[in-house]
Amino acid sequence: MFKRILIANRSEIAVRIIAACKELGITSVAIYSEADKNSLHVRFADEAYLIGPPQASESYLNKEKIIQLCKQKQIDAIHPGYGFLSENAEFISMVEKSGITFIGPSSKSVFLMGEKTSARKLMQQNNVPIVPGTVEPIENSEIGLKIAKEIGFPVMLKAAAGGGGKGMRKIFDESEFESNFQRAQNESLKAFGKSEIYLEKLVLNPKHIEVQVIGDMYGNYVHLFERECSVQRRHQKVVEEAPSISINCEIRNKITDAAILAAEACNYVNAGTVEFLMDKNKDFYFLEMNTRLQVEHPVTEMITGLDLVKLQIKIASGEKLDLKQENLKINGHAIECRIYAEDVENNFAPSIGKINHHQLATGPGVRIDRGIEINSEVPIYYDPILAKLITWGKDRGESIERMKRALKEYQISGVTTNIPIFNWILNNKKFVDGSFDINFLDQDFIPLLPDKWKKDLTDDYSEIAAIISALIKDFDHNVNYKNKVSINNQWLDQNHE
Amino acid sequence: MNDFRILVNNDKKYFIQTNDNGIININGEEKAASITKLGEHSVLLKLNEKLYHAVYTKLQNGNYTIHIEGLIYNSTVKTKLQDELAELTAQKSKSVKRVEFKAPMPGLILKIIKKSGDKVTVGAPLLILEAMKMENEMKSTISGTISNVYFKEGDSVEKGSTILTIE
Repeated sequence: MFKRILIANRSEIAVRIIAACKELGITSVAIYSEADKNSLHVRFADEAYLIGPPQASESYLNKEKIIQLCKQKQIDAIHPGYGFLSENAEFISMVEKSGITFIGPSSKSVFLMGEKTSARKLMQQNNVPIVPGTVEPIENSEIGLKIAKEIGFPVMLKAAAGGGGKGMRKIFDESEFESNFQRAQNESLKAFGKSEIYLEKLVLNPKHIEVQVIGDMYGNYVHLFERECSVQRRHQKVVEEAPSISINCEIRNKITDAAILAAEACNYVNAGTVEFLMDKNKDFYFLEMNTRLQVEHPVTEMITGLDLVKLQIKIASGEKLDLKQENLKINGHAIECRIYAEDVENNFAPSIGKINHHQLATGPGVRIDRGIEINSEVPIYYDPILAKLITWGKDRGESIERMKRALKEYQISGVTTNIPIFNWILNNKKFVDGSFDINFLDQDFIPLLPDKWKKDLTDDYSEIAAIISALIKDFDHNVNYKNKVSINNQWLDQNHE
Repeated sequence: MNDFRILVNNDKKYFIQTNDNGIININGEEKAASITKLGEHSVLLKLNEKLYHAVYTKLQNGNYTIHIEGLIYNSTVKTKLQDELAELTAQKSKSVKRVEFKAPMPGLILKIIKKSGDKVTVGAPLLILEAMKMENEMKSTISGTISNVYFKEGDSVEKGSTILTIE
């Protein structure tokens, strides 16, 4: 087993990984930028080293500096968390060559899955269903249009090097094809440095279902069931849950089998996630594989009772997977809400500042993975995630009720958070009955901004807010008055002496 | 005793009189109300028999942000006199409406789309502000003509700085 693990990340995920290291008796070594010197992950780590200035490119993305530090500090293994360098095949390859263990898949697997067209081709060859479309980049818009007509509109253009919605365009009609093709190419070139575009049939109103897989170095694989992450805004997940309300045992068997096939196809080692889109007929298609730990991994941990980060570390150290598929069972239901520092009413603008009040939600079935504490600074340089609130219940209904309760308890002030919108989501009929798809927020919530969504809320504390404001104003007024009086008295006393 | 006029979420207006005896009068109705400060930003309200734990942030000019039960309310507290004065000024200035467009967050001005003298309508993009690596398109909330632009592309702005004005 490793003695010293460096965590090449920050915030809540770094804190999460430090917890796993501590439980395994491994020294946790954090890195931090100048903006993070008092951050929670630094406070929790056994050792922490300054890696550079606040800009991510100079700190958490500085490959050479991180590897150099690992060598200086006798690090055995690097855990990349998610984001930053976690899916950077070049970095992983550098780590492999330096003799340090990368806690995650090989650079080869990451490279294979990172190139979207080659991944589609590989999946097709291995009988994993893919969205109908091309498995090679399209040369020009004429050829593209011809293929689009063959598979039928609407279609979707995507960047071969892509991800995160960049270089993506939905096309509903032949006449829009040419101009959208150029724009997709330009966007892709800007975002990824490559203009290669491929084409897929647009799956209408799909659900996002993903399967957690895990494999060891000896070719053993298990899946840890599915998660549903259809509550999204601009391809960013907002609420995730496990299991999915939308599939039965039969579909579950099919989709998890497909996920294992996908993992095997790229000789995948460690924890990974195979993402699928599922249409109204419950036909599902491979979307992409995330070759890292996911933000939403806690919901899987809650329903399986497993510690995914500890499993990752054990597998990376060469241990054999000690799980048998037939022994794994889904226990209850879990939901996660991503708490972001953002101003929903103001076009989701990131909010920065100092946390001046932080009251955690606690009690049965509640878990918070957080990167903040009272007096934490929320800097402008990074992803605005503050914490993840996760609840478990014996069934979906109980996990939702627990989430509602926990959201009322969880208090953060100093920055604006998105906590209020979860009240709307969790009470929405489509969310409750499971009929939501990946367009749910864009179609049902975004048009209600600003403020109109509040009319849907059953709770209204306007009057309470008014009374509190009045009484605080009153209180402050009295304090000021008393201070003035006491200052005047002092002055009088001094004059008497 | 104080006489307050409170506007919540720019929507609901309350008339509240506070007294030393712990009884308030809200929109003509008397209620027992008292607060206990639990921390610098944390307060417990006892209203008749009910309890509410809220978190608040005091902003400038009598504005507060109040968090209750996972929801957020913005309130503006004015004394009776301030409220009456404000209404008078509002009536006077109704003919010329001038809106200051303020930076909602600190960031870097990547692009200024409209220049002084340009006409804008509601929803028209004004500028692109980069913060937390995200490009945020800032849109006009009113229709009018841009009268002043106080920054140029590449400038950094603090939260609340007036970037431009629209008349």
